[in-house]
Amino acid sequence: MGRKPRVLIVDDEQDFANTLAERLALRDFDTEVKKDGEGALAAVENNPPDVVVLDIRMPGIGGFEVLRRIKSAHPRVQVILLTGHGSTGDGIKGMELGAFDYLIKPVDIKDLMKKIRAAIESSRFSPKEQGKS
Amino acid sequence: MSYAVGDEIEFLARLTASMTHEIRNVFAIIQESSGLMGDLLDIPGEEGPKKERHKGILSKIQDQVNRGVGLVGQLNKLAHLADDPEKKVDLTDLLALMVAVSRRLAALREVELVLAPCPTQQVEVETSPFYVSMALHYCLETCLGILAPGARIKLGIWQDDKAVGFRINCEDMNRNQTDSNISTQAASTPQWAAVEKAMEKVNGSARLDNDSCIILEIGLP
Repeated sequence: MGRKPRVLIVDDEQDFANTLAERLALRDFDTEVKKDGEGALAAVENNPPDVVVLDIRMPGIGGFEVLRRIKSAHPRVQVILLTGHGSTGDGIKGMELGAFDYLIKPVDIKDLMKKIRAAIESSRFSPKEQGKS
Repeated sequence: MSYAVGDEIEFLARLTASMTHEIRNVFAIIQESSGLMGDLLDIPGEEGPKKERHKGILSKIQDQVNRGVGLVGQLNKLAHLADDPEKKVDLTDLLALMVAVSRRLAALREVELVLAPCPTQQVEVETSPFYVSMALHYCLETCLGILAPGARIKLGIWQDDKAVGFRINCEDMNRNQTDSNISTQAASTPQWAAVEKAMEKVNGSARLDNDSCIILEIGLP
């Protein structure tokens, strides 16, 4: 039996992040929650997840910078931006920085799961990380 | 011609737009929390009327989240109308937004708002989204103020060779024959002055086309 897909949820709205993590766990995902960019980058470095669900506006390192650093160090880790601060400009910027997709809160759990599965599928075709298997 | 809306409006619009983002976060938490309750109820175990009742309540919460998200989306779009003094405006989109935000007001007057079929090609014009939406809103207020319950307002895009704008047609079957026509009555209301003032700002005009029809004509650049 294969391992569960690993999803890292990064959002300073802890009630949102924890509840979403619990709902994904009920659907057989292995989840981890971080409340800021620093924690997210450390978690990715420590044990890269399959997918990061990332808020854009957070205290400290913002979501776009977190996205840029993740894609630079771990191109195979897919990032889905999920934010309440939706604008076309933010969406375009996120996609240019390498986000897999851009969603606006609130999002239906079924739609989010479809995106996560599609992101995992696409990471199989992403370039391999240097020095990593 | 300057379409600038002024520092005060820009300030309010920016704060409003920012707050709509926060409200989305609130709805997201309510949605996920009620969703989790639904997930837990779906775990096989004790069945019964209580469980069904809880599911019914969760369904109502979800309906209201959807309603709230729709409203906050409209509020966000309204706030962003003040972002650019002048920009390319899709008139069909703007009309749909203004009809959506006026539906509640119309329902209170028991008047139906109907969007006429849109032109197949996009109708865009370089203008002030703020003042055009303001003219549309005051025009709807004007019509709602004089129409009787049961009436209908049909709104659509209007265009000819030289100009574009909106056609607002009032249909009032219960209207008394002795009343003056709708257009004439509309022109005598205080809101009509606001419609004309807003249309002047976009180098356009508001005119009465026939007994029951108003045309808002936007000046082309």
